[in-house]
Amino acid sequence: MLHSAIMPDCHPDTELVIAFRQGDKNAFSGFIEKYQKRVYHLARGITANHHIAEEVSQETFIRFWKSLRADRFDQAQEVYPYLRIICINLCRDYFSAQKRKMEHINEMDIVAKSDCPSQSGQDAPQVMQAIESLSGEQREILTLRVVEGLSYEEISRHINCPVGTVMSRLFRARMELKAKLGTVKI
Amino acid sequence: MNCPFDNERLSAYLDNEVTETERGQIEAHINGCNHCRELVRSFRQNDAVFHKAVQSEMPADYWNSYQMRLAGKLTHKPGAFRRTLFWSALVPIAAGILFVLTFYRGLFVAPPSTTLPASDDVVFAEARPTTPLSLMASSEAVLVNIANMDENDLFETEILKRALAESGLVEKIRLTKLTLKNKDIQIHLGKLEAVFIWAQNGDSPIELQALKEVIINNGLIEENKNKRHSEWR
Repeated sequence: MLHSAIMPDCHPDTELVIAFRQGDKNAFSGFIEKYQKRVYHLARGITANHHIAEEVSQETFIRFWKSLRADRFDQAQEVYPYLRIICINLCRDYFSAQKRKMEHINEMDIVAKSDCPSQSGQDAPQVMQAIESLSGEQREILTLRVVEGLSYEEISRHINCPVGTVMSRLFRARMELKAKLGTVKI
Repeated sequence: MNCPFDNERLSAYLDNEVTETERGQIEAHINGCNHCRELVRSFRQNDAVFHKAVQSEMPADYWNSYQMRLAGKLTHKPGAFRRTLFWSALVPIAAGILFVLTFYRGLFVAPPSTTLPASDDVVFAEARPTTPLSLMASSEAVLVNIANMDENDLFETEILKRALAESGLVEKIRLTKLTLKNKDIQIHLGKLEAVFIWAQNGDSPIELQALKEVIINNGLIEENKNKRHSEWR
């Protein structure tokens, strides 16, 4: 409240950032509580894997913490877009590192699903399998558009490619998803 | 089929990424073209399926313990995926904290009087039972006061613990929570164990003193090896 009075135009997250820098130990918990679901779902959309999504989302917060501590985060910035960039890059790093082992991981993932907490409103397993069978690039662009609701321009900045490429990739991803879901009873 | 619109444009139409003029043209077209209308409908439906699958809600327990698991991860040796520069950045920070605390507050130094610190206070210590305090201060043990700790500080606490471990200043870190309550001082000390004193506002100075004596009696700190110790008593 104090900070709002001082900086009435500042972003709501700015108060938390300032509090963190002033030593408020609850401030970082505030970020986690506020964004844990969004970051997790972003990672889940891109990876299509609960366990990797948890890993990526938590690493996202650790890196954010590190940025705050190192004063690399501009408090005028919005926090979530910053977290989104970290999360997307971590997903990409993960896929790059695991590229040669993807088949093995997918096999393990099928086994690991039994460890996944049950989800309310969970879709038929075939739906998740259809999503998993898309490429990482296709899931990424679908997630950014459909889940995150970003414009083509915003997506182009995130994935560093022209808007026209975003449009064509998104179209191909949708066609692929259509083909994969074609036989699934929804 | 000779539709005037590229299917990519239909996808863009769904995303509101076409001009108003083009939007009008597309809508006029799909009203009379089953193929394009069906394609837009299936895109829209599949988007909803994708969104629902990705956003499917996890159980409340999952989110309630999310932060706890995040803190817990920091206490385990990181795997290849987690092995980042994170800890390498923390070690100097922790070393700086330790340096300041060691030389400005001393090891196990309580206020000269029996009054408790103004704020909540946590003391973390680890030492060899027979190690003189002077030696402990230099290299083999650390003791850190962290102000304003509470149960919501798991993340910070775990980061600090991990940083201490990585710094090489501490051989083992083990947490023992000591609850200060009248006639009920829970103590679980042993050789080479860590001590975590959770002294809160309102805790009796007498209880705190009794607790400190128990720590000494357990051999965690040698008596008469440090002047500060006598001051402290």
